[in-house]
Amino acid sequence: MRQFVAISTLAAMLQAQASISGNSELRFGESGNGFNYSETHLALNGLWKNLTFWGEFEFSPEPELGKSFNGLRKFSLEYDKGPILLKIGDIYQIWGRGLVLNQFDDQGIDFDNGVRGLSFQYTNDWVEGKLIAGESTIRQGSIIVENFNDRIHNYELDHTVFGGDLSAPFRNMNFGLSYLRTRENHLIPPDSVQLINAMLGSRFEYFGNNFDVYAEYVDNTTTEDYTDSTKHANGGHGLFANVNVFLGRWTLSVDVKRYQFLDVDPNHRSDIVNKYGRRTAFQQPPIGFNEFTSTLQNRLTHPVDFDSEEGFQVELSGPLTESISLAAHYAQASRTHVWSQLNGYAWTKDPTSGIIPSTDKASNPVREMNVNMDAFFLNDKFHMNAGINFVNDVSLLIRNIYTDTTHRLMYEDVRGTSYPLDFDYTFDNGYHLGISTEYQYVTKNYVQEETLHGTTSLDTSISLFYKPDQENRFLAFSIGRSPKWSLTLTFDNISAYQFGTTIKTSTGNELEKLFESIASLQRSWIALDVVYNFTPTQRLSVMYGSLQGGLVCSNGVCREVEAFEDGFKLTLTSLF
Amino acid sequence: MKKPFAILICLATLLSASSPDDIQKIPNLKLKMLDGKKTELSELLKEGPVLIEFWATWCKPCLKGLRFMDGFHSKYAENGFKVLSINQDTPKSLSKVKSMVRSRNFKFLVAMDPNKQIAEKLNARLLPTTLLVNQAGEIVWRHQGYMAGDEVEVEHQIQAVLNISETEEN
Repeated sequence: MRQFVAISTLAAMLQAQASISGNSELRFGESGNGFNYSETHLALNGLWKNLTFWGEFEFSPEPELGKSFNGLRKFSLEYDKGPILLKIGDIYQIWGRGLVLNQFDDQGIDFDNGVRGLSFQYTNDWVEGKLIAGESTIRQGSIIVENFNDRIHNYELDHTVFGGDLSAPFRNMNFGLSYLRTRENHLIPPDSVQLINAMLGSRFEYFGNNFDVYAEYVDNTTTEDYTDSTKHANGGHGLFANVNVFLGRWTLSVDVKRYQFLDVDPNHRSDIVNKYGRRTAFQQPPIGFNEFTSTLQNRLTHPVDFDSEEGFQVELSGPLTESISLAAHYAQASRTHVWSQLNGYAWTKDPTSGIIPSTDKASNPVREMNVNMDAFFLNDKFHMNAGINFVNDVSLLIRNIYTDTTHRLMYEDVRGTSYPLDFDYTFDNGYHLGISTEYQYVTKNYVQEETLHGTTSLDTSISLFYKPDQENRFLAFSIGRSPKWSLTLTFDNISAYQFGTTIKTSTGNELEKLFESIASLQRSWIALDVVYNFTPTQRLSVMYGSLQGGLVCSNGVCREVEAFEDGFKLTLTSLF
Repeated sequence: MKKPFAILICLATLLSASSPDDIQKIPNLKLKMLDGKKTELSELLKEGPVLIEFWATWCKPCLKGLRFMDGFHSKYAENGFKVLSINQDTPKSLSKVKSMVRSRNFKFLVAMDPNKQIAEKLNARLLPTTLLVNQAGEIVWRHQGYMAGDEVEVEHQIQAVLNISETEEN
């Protein structure tokens, strides 16, 4: 509070000479299943000569995700003159494509890998150099330590960070070198181990008229640091390459990735506490998969294992006509190694590994195909987007036992097909109508395969749903009038729950009861969302109803978010 | 104490935002363009006003709105007007930006802001956010979000900053 008053007073004093701007967001939610939150964010920007100040205040007695916070959450003071840029406060940088450093603060998934400290940047026509130093606390969730909670992370890692990045453009090319070193206090409750993580990266970029090339490589080393000695703990590497070939207005884009920072056996892949020496949280490389915009497709997102994953994606995109564009995409990936248990004992990895992803079930293969068409008709008043998406993910390897005579394999197999379709039409008087539909068919099975003397002796599947499959339907109707208001009714229905997931407890709010005759209220989430723009810079959004929970991913970081039942949400954003 | 305080902040921001005469100077942004070249906002403003549009390849409403922004970029180019789109794709989807721009034949300028440092300076909390900057480097109009039909108001604002009346334009 005192910080706010001090900063506000300072801002008011400077206002006569400096340019002050800002934004605020008030978020409030109250639901029937106890998912309540209340948080206010206020960001201020000040510009005075070569100095820029930025600060974000948060007042959140009960935030939607993360810990309660009241006060100055983030700040930075920047001096920018000629080739020099000096910054003090909360630093967020991306070097290359993030294999060494990719920092972001995403409150939607409660992930923040920013560094509080200082950065120095020098730029001229020949070179760009960056230095960064500071401290960072990375919060994550782990079931290994106490108090695991969907909404508040229960595991924290402190890092002291130092590093530098140098890039040099030459004609249509760009060369880069990066080095980042962190001293990590790695908690293994009730104790901790001191780690030194060192990342050395290099990159190359070419911009051409007919094609672009990007390649980046990083080498990681983790050392345990004791008072009188050090011990090599782990070493790994990461590679990402992208080629875009331009064929007129069509583009063929190919991404290749190989991340092998730490090989962890299938039983301990989620153990971030005891299995250290992974890629650090500052390394957030490209995922090598599509990022979808439709609701149901997003729920089948493949959670990338940045410690051990290799794969590629290919996309061909371009215009069919001036009004219709098409994108066809295929991605495939797997763990870098095949894992097996000889005679039922400990897991071992196949020492051979290449750049091509494996299709062996014991390497968790995943394939995804997507075709999307976007079109404008009737003098751009009618817009349509249609797609089809297939995914097949061996998401979990449970058993892969070899003996002299038998082979027993057990894994979780997820298959899904989604068909999103959106239309909207804008009338001359400013009104618009929109319909979004999506149908999805999903199977999720525990598959058990056994062979005896090379002959199949068992091949069974057990559905993880209460039914053999799951059919999901999503429907949204919207009506609005630009630039003032819009009203959207969403209907989200599943045909079966997955074993172990939280079943919707409410019997339906007044809105849901209207749909009682067409769908089971216990498997439907219905909501009404109203957006009202008081002015172009003040926006109010009010939602009433229920929203299904599930996996939410951003930048390859995923977390489960619980459902929101029978309640209302209010969001007020303002620019000033 | 905290709830009234939060309400107070929002009221204050609402009131402060309601002043139409409150014109802010935009900082001279250092821009890294999609083709790898570097420039500064002041260079772009030398020829005329600039409309800044924040977007990302995964943002559905942004993609709808960009088609119209591209039309304005071409339509008012002879008046020195430009559309500068600032892309916010992170390394996750950065390689798709160029193919999307080419496949839709967008002619506007594309700058990259993967770690949202420009968005932070210009208070672009939502995607899309639109800012209209006059040649003197003052933000004369801002808008959050995109609803079908918003392009009508955007064009009115562009015409106002270019001193073009609708009848003249027709």
